Amino acid sequence: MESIRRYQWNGSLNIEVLTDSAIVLAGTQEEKCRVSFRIPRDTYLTIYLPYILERLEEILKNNVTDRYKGWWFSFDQVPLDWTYPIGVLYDSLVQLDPSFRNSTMTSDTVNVWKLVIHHDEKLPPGIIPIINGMKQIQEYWMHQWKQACFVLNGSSKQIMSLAKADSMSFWYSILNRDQKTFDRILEKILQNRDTVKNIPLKIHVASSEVKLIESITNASTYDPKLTLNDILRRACPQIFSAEEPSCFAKPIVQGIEVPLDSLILNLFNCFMSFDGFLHVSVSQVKK
Amino acid sequence: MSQLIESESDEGTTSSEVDNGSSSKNSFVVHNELEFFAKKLNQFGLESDEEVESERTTNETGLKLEEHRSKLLGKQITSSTTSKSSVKSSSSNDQVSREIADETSQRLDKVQIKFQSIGSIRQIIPQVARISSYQPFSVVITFLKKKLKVDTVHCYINNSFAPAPQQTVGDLWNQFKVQNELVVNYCSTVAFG
Repeated sequence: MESIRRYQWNGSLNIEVLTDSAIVLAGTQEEKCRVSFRIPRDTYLTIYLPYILERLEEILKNNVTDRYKGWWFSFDQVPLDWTYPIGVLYDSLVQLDPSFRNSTMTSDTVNVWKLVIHHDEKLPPGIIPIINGMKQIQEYWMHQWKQACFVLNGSSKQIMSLAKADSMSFWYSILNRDQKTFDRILEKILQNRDTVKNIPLKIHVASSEVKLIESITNASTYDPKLTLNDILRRACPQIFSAEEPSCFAKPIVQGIEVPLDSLILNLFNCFMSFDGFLHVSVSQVKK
Repeated sequence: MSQLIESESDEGTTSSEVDNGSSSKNSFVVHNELEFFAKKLNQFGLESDEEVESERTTNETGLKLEEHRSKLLGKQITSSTTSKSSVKSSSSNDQVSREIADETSQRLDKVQIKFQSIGSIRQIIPQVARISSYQPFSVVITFLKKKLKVDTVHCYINNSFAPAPQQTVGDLWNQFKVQNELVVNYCSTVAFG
């Protein structure tokens, strides 16, 4: 399990961000409007906004006054909700069948997710405005953890009683990608993994045509024999029916296709995300 | 005593469209379809009473949103309102309206929310409200802001955490209900940081 956690923590995505032409100085070469970088799958994209804007500052029409407010990303003209980990958005929206991806890619192939960055005073509907910079992102993340903690333990006490230094180190471990610190504080929240009450779970079902993510937050009552299939059948009975195994939808966790008969507690222990939830993307494979 | 959040006006639905990406992306479709259904209803000469009509429209909005949600989940809805319309011509109006009512009541599950104020902010009366389970939590925040006539309000579940605004109220109710009520604590400042 240790090695799985390590692979997952180090999992990354190659991203190329193109700047929306509406905010770029006229006559700028297209090459200068692009920023390419690699970020961890298990993080919020908005955390990297200052870095991206630093690289784009020269070509923008207006001076950057706030490095968070009014900025958003889109993929295929669909605005991305920053409140989900970027890896989850990728798994849900790109909907690449992992087995197909493996067969077409060699070790030299670089997979790049192309996004567009926009800026406007008015954000598209559904995007939560960031008005308080990094602090707001941190608070949002902390509340996600509190919710997850409530689901796991029946109250948020474990996370609310963390010392200030611990709770700050917890957040900095995300920013500095320090798995050791993260795991140390995680142990305090999840004191006994075998006696959890419920498992915090988010299921993301995206439709391939509209690229819209429908998220179902589920707290499955802990039962050692509960499998992913049991939960998916209950949450999305239209996709995962009891009679026959689904041939057009696959559950993806952290970019990996996971077997339907996986025990949910095992999945949670191995693939839990940095916000305390187990995110499952239902990839609807094109027929 | 309880109240219906949606019954305040259609704004409840509108705000969900503003705040919630999944609904808003299809707001045009929903609006167009609403017009279409309104026309259909007129054609079939259903109740002309304005109140019933408006209620029906609200229900249909809910129905369409719910339908959209189901579609997203890959469900092929064969008993959609459109197909109901075609059934109408061969059956009596009474039967059809009963069918629609049955279907609506099945899909429009409402959940109960209990509001509890923290600190100096006033307690809203009545304390309990009912809301459709598919609505995002942002609708609850909008409702509270309107009711309290304030610009910001911080909402928490069970005196613990602030849920994501896009999370559906039904999901929250299922997981955190206390005696069949979702307890929402609200405060004018940050209460649980």
